[in-house]
Amino acid sequence: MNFSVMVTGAPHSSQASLSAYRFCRSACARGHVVPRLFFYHDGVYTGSRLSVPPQDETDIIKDWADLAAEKGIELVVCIAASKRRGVLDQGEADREGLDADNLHPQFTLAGLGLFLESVIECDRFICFGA
Amino acid sequence: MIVSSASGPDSVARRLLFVFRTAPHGTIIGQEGLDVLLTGGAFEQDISVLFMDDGVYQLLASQDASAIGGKDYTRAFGVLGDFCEALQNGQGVFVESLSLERRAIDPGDLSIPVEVLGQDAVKALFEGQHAVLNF
Repeated sequence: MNFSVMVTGAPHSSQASLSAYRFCRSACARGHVVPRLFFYHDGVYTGSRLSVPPQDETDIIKDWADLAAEKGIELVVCIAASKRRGVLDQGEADREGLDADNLHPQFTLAGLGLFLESVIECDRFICFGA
Repeated sequence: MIVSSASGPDSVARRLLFVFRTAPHGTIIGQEGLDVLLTGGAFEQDISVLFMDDGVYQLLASQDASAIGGKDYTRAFGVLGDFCEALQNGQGVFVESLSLERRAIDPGDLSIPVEVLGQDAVKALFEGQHAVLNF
C-alpha cells in the first residue's frame, strides 16, 4: 500500500511526530511504501537543522533523517508554513534578504500542490496532528 | 501554483473530505487548513467540506479580527460554493447539527449556505471518502 503521511505537530513539543515516525517504520517493515512525508503547520519546525535536544530525549529530527536516508523517503516541509515560522533554505533566505538559513539538508521546501498530489495518488492518507 | 490532473486509477476523481474542527484566530490551523482546501480546489477532485465542533465558528458571519491583530481569512470560505458541487455524488458543504445546537448558532448566522447534517449523516459522509483531512 502507498501511504501519504502528513505531520502537523511540532517535533519534541507534540507526540505527533514520534507517532508518525513509528507508523512509517512499521509500514515500511511490512512492505508498504511511504514515498514522502509532508510537514505542515507546526510540523515544519521538524525541518530545522539547529535543534539540539537533551541527550536523554529522543532526537526525532535525526530519526526522521535516518529513516529517510534508509528508505528513500522524501522529507518535505511546506514553504508557506515554514517561512512564517522561520525555517528557510538558502534560496529563500537570499530572496528575503536574510543573513542565515536553517533548513536541514535532508529536507526540501515545497508548496501545497505537491501535498495534494500525494493525497490524490496514494492508497491511504494519514495525518498526525498536535 | 501547480495545477495538476493527478487523479486516482482510471482517472476517476477522488472523494476528499476537509473537516474543520477548531475555532478561528486562537490558532492558525484553521487558516492553514483553508489554504490546503483552496489549493485542493485546483485539482478537479470531488471535494466536500464539513464544519463540526468549534469549527462551526469558522463560518460565523461578520467577523472582525482586527481588534486582536488577526487576519480576516474566514471570508475566503465564501468561495466554497464555486468548487463544491452541492448535492452531486453526495459531496458538498456541511455543518454538523449538534455542533450548532451546543453553541446556540443558527444556520442563518453563518456566512455561506450549508447543509446541516445529523450524526448518522456525518458518519455516512466519512465513509467512502478517499482521504479525510482535519484542521
